Amino acid sequence: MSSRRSQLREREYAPQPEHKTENADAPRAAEAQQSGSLTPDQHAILTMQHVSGNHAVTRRLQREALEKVPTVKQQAISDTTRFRNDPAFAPIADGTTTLKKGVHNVSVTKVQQALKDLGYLFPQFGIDGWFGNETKGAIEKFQGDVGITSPLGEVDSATLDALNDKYDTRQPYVDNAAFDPADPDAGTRKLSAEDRKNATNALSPRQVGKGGKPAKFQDDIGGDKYGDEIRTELGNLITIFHKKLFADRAPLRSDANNLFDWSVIEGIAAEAKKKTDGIYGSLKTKNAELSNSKGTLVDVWEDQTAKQAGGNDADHLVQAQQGAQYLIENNMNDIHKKHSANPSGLQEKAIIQPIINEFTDSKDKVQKLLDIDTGWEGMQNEGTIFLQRYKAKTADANRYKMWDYYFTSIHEYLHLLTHDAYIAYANKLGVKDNTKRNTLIEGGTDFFTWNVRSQVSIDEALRQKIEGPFYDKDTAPVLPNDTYDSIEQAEELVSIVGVHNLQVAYFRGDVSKIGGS
Amino acid sequence: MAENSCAAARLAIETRDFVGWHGLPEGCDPHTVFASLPALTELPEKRLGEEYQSASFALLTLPGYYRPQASFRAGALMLFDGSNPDLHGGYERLRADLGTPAATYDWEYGLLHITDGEWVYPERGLTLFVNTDATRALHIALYHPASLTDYRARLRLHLGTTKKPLRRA
Repeated sequence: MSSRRSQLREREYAPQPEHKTENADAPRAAEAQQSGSLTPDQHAILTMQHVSGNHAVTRRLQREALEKVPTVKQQAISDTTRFRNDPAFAPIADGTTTLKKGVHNVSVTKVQQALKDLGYLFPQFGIDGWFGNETKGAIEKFQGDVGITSPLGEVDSATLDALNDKYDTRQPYVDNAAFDPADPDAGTRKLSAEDRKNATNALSPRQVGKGGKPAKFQDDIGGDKYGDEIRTELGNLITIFHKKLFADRAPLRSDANNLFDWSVIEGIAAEAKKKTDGIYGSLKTKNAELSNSKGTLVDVWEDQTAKQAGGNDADHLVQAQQGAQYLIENNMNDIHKKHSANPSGLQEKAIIQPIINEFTDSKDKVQKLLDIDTGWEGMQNEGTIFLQRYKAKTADANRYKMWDYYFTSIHEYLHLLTHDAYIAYANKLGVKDNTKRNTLIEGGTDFFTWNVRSQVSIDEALRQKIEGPFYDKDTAPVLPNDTYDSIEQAEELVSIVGVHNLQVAYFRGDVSKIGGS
Repeated sequence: MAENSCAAARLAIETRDFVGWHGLPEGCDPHTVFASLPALTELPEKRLGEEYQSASFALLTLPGYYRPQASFRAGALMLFDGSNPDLHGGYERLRADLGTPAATYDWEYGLLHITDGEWVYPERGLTLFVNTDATRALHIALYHPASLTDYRARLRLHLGTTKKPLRRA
């Protein structure tokens, strides 16, 4: 199943401020018209209709109409994936069937947990994956509260849509953020063996093909060879990223006026910390600060320059090859999906490695990939954020940068609050399957980041603080929407274990609540 | 710990001469070891070891290293580390003195993954992080003499960086 979130994100990435157009999709639409293919939006809508039904399409069109109003609003990727990307819910979403009494599976668990996090009670049996009278009663109550009259006590497409609507706001997550140290297990639940298994499985992305069977790699799709597409896209990415991230910026380095002072970035980070603490302050067990002088904020450009200078040609070749590998693994999802490919798979690797070698077979090519690392926008490690300090050329682009610093700071500050035991658990899982580690570390952090973002009111007072000298009350800022794909898996984990369980694992280190021991 | 041992450690760190190094002395006043140590209150934290245990750390100003840092647990100095150490007498001299490491592991120098480049000498309280062809030291860590098990659990540095996603638009 293709990811609706990814498709939306692809669209949302398009309107970068320095290249802003009246209709950011226009170039793509023109391309599509010339080639006779669908635009990404058209494709996304058809996919959504197939997966989630007409209600979802109607909602998206309504939302897009609202987004065209020139007001400052969050263009967040806030749509929940609790039910939308789950193939088990697809027949319910498209009206083929309903979930009803007598069923016992993880889909029931997810519905029960969603209702519980909304405040509906399961006093007798709790969240057990069994669709009995207690679950039926909770669903009926929910349906009554949202005005659904039939089929009462069954989960149909309208009920799914209503649940999605609730979670799209992320308000249920925020409403459950409070923590009482005197009652640390409040709101959590003890996982059964089945829950633990489902929770651990949820940490890896689904590879589902036709009929729900595992997808099999296909080298040739209608004459399009996997390797050819990877080669072409890698060449494009290197050209685009090298120009944008490095070549355009390198001449600016000699003049300090082209860089934001650390005090500007630290001030924005302090605002991000304040907002995050306002929501998750009761859960945190440690204090953290984002500060250049204390070592937690680092300039990527300076850092990569120093590190690359420390290495020799052999090191540079390896780093360049790893850089090319990163671009293939992380920036070509559409190609991988089209070919049902896992870039770490044996067949795929045999195709990819020679391409990486082609792109690193000379010093110039190696240097280009190293330059991209030097200009990369942001990185992090345990406790430190690495970012670029370049000022952009236009006020629009600088406003965008300020908000990017703000939202990045929320994400990275949350990393600093992550409990050691949670990180150790994620890394333990990562030894066998790095996608599980990535879900817990980046997806989990993004989950909380978007919860905080959903509570950010972009009013004049905050805009003045964040945008500083670039504030212009008549020009709404474009907000960054970068996110990790693994937020989808993190949200699926929450759909099984509940938001309280993830919170006490992430902030307090009780990993038994997410399937660990 | 005799004050002269702490002073000797300071001299070794400042001159980047670790030939004959046998571990960070126990019980040194951090200010005796580092001239440029900032106030030890409200330090940021990082995680060390395979158990990802927290330690507070201070960024130091120390010539001959890139981003040298001192790390503390329960207020006590427990680790010093820095990148690109300009080793006194060169890398080969120290390597000859250290001999065969007790263990080697993969490590990450920012974005660069290096296979078997973390050379651990736990009984000497020293780990040398070498480059891909083992011709350079890209990082060094100094600590109290420890067992390999203890080093792995509580002290291993996490020096890799993860890229933030970036789209082509």
